[in-house]
Amino acid sequence: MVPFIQVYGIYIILHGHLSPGGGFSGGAIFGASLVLIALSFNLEVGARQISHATASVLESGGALGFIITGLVAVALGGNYLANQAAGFPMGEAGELFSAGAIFIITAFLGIKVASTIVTLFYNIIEGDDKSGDAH
Amino acid sequence: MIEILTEILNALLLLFLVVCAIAVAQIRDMLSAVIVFASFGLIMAIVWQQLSAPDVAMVEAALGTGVTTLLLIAAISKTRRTE
Amino acid sequence: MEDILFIIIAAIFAMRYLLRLQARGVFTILLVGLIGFFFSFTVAEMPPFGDPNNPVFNEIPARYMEAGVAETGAVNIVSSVIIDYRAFDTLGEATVLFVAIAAVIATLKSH
Repeated sequence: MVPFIQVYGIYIILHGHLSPGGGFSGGAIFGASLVLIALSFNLEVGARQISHATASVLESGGALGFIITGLVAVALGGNYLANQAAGFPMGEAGELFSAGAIFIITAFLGIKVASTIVTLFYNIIEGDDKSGDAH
Repeated sequence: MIEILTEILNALLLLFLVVCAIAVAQIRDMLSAVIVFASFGLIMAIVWQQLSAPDVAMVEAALGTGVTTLLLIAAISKTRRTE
Repeated sequence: MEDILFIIIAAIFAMRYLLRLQARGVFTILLVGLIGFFFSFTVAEMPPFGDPNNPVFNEIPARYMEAGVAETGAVNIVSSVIIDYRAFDTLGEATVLFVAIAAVIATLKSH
């Protein structure tokens, strides 16, 4: 079941500029699929899918990619986060690889939201395991 | 005919939304409250779809129903179940 | 439809409080009734839902509808608004997510 959910999440992220959806909802679906592994098997199997270091690198990388895409637009001669004025390749409207910066930013947003949900869940679950006198 | 049926469906959805919202505040068992809250999110997603906002409906169904429930259940598993 | 729902909810809560009436209960009923009156008054004064003559349907959504596909290349108008026209807001949302996860890690992580 989990691979189908992941394919659906990736589809929603990549088709964010063509159909309803986008970085936020697709990333939430992808992150929820990774959490479902931990719910259906156990915590070790779930934590083996994506390590903490990978998740934090992906999260910071998503935010950084967003900002760098905006700075690339400045370097190409437009305003910050400009799309067509900065000369991103637009393509044909309705194709998959079109819409210039929207495609890139949606992919970065999806990565960031998915890793945020995974990190949040694992931090809450295994947060105070070592300090057992919390309750 | 189809408009009248849509109106009845919308009224039922809104009524069930209010019932869910009151039930979440009244239920003493935390796990039951979280599950009722998930059904609240699902009804809310259908209402967004009826308002012809599929983007918001998708975000509500994924975040409001799925991820919020997961995080609240994780929080309950760390604390007590009844208030 | 919404007015009837408001009245039903208000009646339910009013009955619950009227059954066990005290001095503080009367004050609470008066306060809630005052707030509910102003709330219902504001809702009744709002423009009708989905009316094409509402003030929100001015020249800005018309501009996005007409020139959105040509300017951004995205068929989905919502995407073209939130990631192209209002991309700085979306960057702020991503920053909110980042700060939230940083706060959770700083609070819950046990070293």
